[in-house]
Amino acid sequence: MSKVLAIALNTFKEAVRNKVLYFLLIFALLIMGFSGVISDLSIAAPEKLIKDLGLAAIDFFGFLIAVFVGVYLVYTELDKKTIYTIVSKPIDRYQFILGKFFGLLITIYVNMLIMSVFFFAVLYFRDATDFDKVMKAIYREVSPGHYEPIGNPQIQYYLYHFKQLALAIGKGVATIFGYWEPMTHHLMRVIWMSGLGLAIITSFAILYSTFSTPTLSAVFTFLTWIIGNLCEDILRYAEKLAQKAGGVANLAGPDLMKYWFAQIAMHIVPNLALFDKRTEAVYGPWDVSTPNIHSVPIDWVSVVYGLVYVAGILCLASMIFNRRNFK
Amino acid sequence: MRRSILQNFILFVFFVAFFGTAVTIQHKNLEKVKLNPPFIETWMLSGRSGELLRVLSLRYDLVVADFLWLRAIQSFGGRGMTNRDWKPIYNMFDTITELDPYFEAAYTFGNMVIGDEGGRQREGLALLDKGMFKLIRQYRIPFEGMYVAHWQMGDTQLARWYGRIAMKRQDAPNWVPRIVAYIEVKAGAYYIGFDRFLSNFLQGLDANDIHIQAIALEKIKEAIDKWNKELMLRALDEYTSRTGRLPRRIEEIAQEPSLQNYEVARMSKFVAAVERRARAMNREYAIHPDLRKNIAWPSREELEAPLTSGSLAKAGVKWEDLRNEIFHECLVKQSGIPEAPNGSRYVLNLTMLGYPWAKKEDKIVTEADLLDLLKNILRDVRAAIEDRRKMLGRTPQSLREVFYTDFNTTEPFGGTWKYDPQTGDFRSTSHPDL
Amino acid sequence: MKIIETVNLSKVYTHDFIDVEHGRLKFNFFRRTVALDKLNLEVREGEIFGLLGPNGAGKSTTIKILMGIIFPTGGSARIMERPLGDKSVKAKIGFLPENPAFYDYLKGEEFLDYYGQLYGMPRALRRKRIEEMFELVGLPPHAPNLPLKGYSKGMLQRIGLAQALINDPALVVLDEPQSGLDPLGRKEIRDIILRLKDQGKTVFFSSHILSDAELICDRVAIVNRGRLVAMGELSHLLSPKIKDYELVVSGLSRESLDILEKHARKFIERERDVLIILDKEDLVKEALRRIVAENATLVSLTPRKETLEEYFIREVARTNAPREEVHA
Repeated sequence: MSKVLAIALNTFKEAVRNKVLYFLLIFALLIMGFSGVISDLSIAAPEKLIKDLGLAAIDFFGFLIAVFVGVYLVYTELDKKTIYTIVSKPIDRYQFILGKFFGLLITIYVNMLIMSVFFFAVLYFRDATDFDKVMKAIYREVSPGHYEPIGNPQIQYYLYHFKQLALAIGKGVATIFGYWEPMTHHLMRVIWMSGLGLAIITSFAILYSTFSTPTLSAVFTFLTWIIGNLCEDILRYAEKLAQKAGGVANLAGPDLMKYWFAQIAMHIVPNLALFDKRTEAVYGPWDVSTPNIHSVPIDWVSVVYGLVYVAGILCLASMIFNRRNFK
Repeated sequence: MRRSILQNFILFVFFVAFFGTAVTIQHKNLEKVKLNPPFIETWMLSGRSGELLRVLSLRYDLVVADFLWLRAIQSFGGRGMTNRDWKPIYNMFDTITELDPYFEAAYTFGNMVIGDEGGRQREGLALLDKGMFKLIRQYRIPFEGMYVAHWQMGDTQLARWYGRIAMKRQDAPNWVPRIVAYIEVKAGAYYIGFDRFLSNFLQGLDANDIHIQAIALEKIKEAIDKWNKELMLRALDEYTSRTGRLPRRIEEIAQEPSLQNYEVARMSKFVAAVERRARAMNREYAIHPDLRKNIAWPSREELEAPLTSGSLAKAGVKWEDLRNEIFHECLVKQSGIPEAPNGSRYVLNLTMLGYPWAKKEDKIVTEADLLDLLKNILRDVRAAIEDRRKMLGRTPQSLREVFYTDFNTTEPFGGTWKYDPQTGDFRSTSHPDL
Repeated sequence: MKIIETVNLSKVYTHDFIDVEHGRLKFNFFRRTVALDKLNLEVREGEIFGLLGPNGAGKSTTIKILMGIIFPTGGSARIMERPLGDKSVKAKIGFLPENPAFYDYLKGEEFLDYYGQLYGMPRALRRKRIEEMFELVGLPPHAPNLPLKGYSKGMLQRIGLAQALINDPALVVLDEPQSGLDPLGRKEIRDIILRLKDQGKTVFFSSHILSDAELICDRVAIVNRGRLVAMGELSHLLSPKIKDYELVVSGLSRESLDILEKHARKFIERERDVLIILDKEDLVKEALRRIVAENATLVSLTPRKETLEEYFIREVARTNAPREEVHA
């Protein structure tokens, strides 16, 4: 498997050269910064806005990276004929597919982690620069009701903000490794879950690029993502159809077709809704005594589903790749 | 080389021309936009749009909800609400809560905007109902519903319903049951109200918090007072419809059916109950000496009567555990005028009785209240007489000289007023010593 | 041991049902292109084998099939007595494709290191071999740290050769290794191939530069239109007969020159000497006699046998005969 790792690292080096990556990353960071600013407009739970927007941005931009960077990976190898010297080496074609997949996945995860650090930093910084806290840091209460500034208030103000910024970034990095505060409890778990959903989309991007052009692959991947997200809604729609008719047995004609089509299709399509734990992150179970700590239980069934699904798609991609003639 | 410079220059000129035109047009457009701030996309949001948006937003529904929320706040701040266009804003909040069903602020703020500002309380309550059963651990939403129902719509039964739900929520703070008990009493559910306030008081005893005890005691008195008054007012109505006239003394209504064989809680029994148990629990007292003003105190025998055999009261027991037995001990079945919880007795308020502007709760008051009223009247009239004396330089001849009209204020106790023109002395015949 | 052996190897392409050609839609009803038609090749251990043929003959197709880039539609092939695709065999093969494309963002060293990893070579061995390779193919000392983007065509070819040799393979397969090189480059390639043979390796390459092939190959195969035209040792294929003689003289009398011109196949008078091509030995002897008699200078006398190029053109024309001209 060291060969797979070699290919993966090479793929990562190649992906990192793609300028699109940087645009997407910067854009995502801008959105998170923006959310930190406009959160003050939201009169209730301003932190909810940052969390919602931040988590959604990490998920969405991860998806965009998977599509825009991923569909080119296999295609450029074939188009530029660099594949010739690879295939003639003693590696299996499936190892090549795996290497490409993991290379792309590493690229996406690195970006996700960068975005996560920034996201946490925004949360921590905003919390620390709450007006009351700033005033408490700058002013000292000499006697009840009487306040005296510590040093030059202007300088102290900027110094405080600067210090909190550095601290926020440091805490942001630490949060990736497990550190948490009440407001960021289990958020990393949500991001990892989202990452697993992205792994599924990535595997599809690789799959499509084994047999079609980048544009088509992008379109297919995009469609897969949309249907994956709508999977549960479509199933619900099918159930409602059945319910309106008074039971599955009573369905007839086009409705029956719609019902069975929905049922079968939605079993095959990846159910990306399982990897969306964002609601739990913001509203998840909390104890009355600790109102700000939302907990997100690890949904092991979905994790297994995700891993198994990815493995299946990679098998399919390898099968297709095995039979391909490279012109 | 020269050619391309010329070409670039021409292109630049064209660029400035085209782009400048565009910018100017946009500038004109912005002027128009400033004057008419666009309201929320009313064409977009209908009653069903919540479900549709949720599907369309592809699992980013919380983000869409947040954006709609920001728009809602902005529009509320910018335009306020009128009764005419409540529907778009209702749909707006309905959509937001459809996208993000756990967004508590959306429900409460939406209710405030639609109900308070817009005057459509029913629709506001509909929004709260939606939220109440999604956020099943939070007390805030049913509590708001209770507030709206009682204080804005005056529907105490509905308020009771909300209140009881609010009380059972996981995160309800400890003052919620007290307010709900108040509503219960207001709605006429006296048993429940009394029981709740009793519970409050006992909790205050367990917690050694004299503040809670003081409040609870006041509330208990209030509850019993209201309870008594409702019965007596019913009897008053029965008397007037039976005889066709108003009674002059409260004893006259004591024979009416409503005051026969009724069950009510008695303050003195309550005091006896808790004090006796305090002794059984090796405590010096139950009701703190500072709190004993204006309470109907039981007699010596009542205070010293032994507890029933089934009582749980002994040292180390929590007061809360004794609630049931205390509650039942306070209830008595009796006939006639009930005992006033503040130690005084009930009398008819003749200054109010028979007058169309009289409020129900003012028709029958305790003697203490009436005495206060009499004292106030005497004080005010005496002051007026003194002023007139100074003005005239002599004692006024009659009260008509003082007030320029006949003094027609009814004497609270049914007596009359006596004015001595020689001395300027003014007093009542029922209480000449005042 | 037969290093490479193909048995009736065939490759037929079926065109897409609908295609776009010259901006128009074309409907192909089962149009097929035959790239290889029952090709039988044999490459023996330790020899230099040249696969020759005109453009479009199927040389690259054969190599691609052997390397596992495309799959045959008929027949079979074995490398080192194992079927195609065997990984243990691939570990002993080095391959350089035609007009190779590489990852131009990698530095030279990283590039070779990557391929070394794909061969499964351990790190110490890789480092040693990379150094040796840079020396062997003659790349300048700044090459290892320079990204491939900055390499010239010649340098790219060299490093391509380096990645083919990094694992010290027993079989080296080169597809048109001399394309785009200047004469110096071509000589270097020839030298390297000969050196590889000295090391005991088998070299299999395709080319259409016949003169070079003639110089170094032990055995050749000529293919045309997917079919094998001829295969064997050069000395067996080419007629041993002396075709004609090339004579360069100076100082002969005008009279002699006229006589020779009459009988000569070719007669070119140059500034200093005269080039005469005679196809009979008697004529040559006559010419020599005159040279000696007139005390003229014999600059050179070269008996010419059939060259590979002449053989090649003859055979290709023969196999093309019933059909139209060969398309380039």
